[in-house]
Amino acid sequence: MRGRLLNRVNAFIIVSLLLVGGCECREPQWKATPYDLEIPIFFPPMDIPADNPLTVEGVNLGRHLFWETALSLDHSISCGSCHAPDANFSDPEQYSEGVTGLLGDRNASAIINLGWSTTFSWDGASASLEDHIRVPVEHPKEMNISWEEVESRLQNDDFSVDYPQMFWDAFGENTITQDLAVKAIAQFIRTMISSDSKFDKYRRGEAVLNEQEAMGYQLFLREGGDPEVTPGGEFGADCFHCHGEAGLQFSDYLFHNNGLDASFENDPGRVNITGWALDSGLFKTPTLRNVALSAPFMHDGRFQTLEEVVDHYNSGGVPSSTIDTFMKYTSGGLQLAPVQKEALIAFLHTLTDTTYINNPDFQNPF
Amino acid sequence: MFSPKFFYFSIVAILTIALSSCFKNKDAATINLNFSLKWFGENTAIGDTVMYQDNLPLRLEKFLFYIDDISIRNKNGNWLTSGSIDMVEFMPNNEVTSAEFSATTVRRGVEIDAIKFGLGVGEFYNGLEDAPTHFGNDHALGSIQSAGMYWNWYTGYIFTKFEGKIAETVDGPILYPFSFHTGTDDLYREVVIELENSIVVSAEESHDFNVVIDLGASISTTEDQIDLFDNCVTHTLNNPELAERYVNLLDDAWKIVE
Repeated sequence: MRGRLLNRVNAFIIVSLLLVGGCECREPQWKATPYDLEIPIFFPPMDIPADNPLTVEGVNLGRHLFWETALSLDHSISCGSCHAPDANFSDPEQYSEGVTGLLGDRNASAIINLGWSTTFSWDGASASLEDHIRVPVEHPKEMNISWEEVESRLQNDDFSVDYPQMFWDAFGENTITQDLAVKAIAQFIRTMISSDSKFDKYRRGEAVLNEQEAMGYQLFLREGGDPEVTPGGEFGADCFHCHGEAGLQFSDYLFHNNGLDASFENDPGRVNITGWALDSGLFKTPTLRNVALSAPFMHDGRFQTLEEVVDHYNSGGVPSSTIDTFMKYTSGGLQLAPVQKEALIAFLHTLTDTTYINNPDFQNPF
Repeated sequence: MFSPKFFYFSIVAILTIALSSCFKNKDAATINLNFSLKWFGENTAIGDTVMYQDNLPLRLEKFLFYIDDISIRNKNGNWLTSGSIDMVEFMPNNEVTSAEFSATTVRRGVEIDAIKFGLGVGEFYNGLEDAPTHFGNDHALGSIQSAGMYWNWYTGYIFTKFEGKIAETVDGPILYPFSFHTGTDDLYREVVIELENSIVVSAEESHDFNVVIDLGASISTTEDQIDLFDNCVTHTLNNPELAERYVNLLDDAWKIVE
């Protein structure tokens, strides 16, 4: 009788251990709300780091930090200062002015659908969004402040919002750190999704391209050049090779030399990261989403208008050792007629999504 | 009193549950294909300048391809397939580029005498609408891994890319571009490499094969010669004849070396 009782006790203990073994012993005191990120139709899945899942509280904190001028030495600029909504969250100036008055070396590129990007900055210096966000804060030509000072300010100074509480809400941590600040901003940026341009609606069957836009779309998709002088030419504009519409991001996220210069002393580009001579003068392909709002263009912001950009490609570009084989520099360029250039630009305007730049969730909360 | 039998049974049950995940794929046999490049028999790498025709400098700038369903043939002539799909891209740093066959169907002591793989993406996946969006970002066919290797309007993936530039004179700048991009189901090819000596492949073992691709042989053999000045571009649909000539040469440009 006693043996059977002990067996039952024994069984109860083992079953209890099995049931309880996988559970947390301590009742969690903090719980953030998962952010329901909606991936638009025809878009690929977004890679979100396992150690930085999106939460409502994290995104909200990230938005505040994105617009927080305390992240700059003299409290004069925030991320949003050089990534202005009206300019597709880029800088309409060729080079951005930092807190010391120094100008940056490259144009501040657009923040749009970066959740799908695999490399960051024009030369791909950062392999993750989180790593990229760390850079401007300490850069002497940008915000020029140590992360330690930023941590101290957010922890101790008076703000219109309660940052220690917001960090606790987002991460369950009382101590504000660079890592958590970066994670919050990255969460916010991953929610910055554009998917409501006229072209998106066209793909969804909700809109029709007009005759000029449709002509521009066909030019966009066709091989460039006159086949009589350009092998493989199809009288197109040859945009698709680097700005392919796969996944509707209009960028291959790779690096190309698009024939801007004969040499690269001013800015060697990707070679600075890889050390490979073949990468000299290569820069990341930017997305064309909202391109009509993203002037100036190219890594150094040398072109002010889409007309200048199209004229550049139409010319075939400047030959150099690493110029991309897609450029038509050996055969006199694309040779697009004025009416074709206008059609191509009309198509590029179908990628404009004003609901994105006006989205209240992305604006300055202060 | 404790029943020792029940106690030991419980311990075994717990250990079984806890360790079961450790023995997944315990029977897998693995074959690594380690690829390297040659130019008409000489070792080379992306970024190298080699000689073309009458000593015209030619720079190799890009070579990558999809490798589909690596398979091995047993001595009965049956193919054991893996269903694998990978992208193999050569980088300028000359690192060995690999693809892997892994199959749990291989039992101990299977003697094999050939390796086979598809050059491209099989018809099913290639025909999926907006194919990259069907795959996760870690997958070779997903949007991120296939960046630059998918064209919507070509209804599928780019199977192979070979790009570079040639000097038009012996001392001239290396600027004349050539660019071969192949795709479409018609140009999917199966590469079969016979092993000089059969080997025994066993479960839980890994074998490495060094596979050489001769890029020179992919444009010129005794059977066909592609003049890179006269035929410098095919992106398949804009010059299907040249694309077919190229993939037919490429199909025969592979060799296993000891």
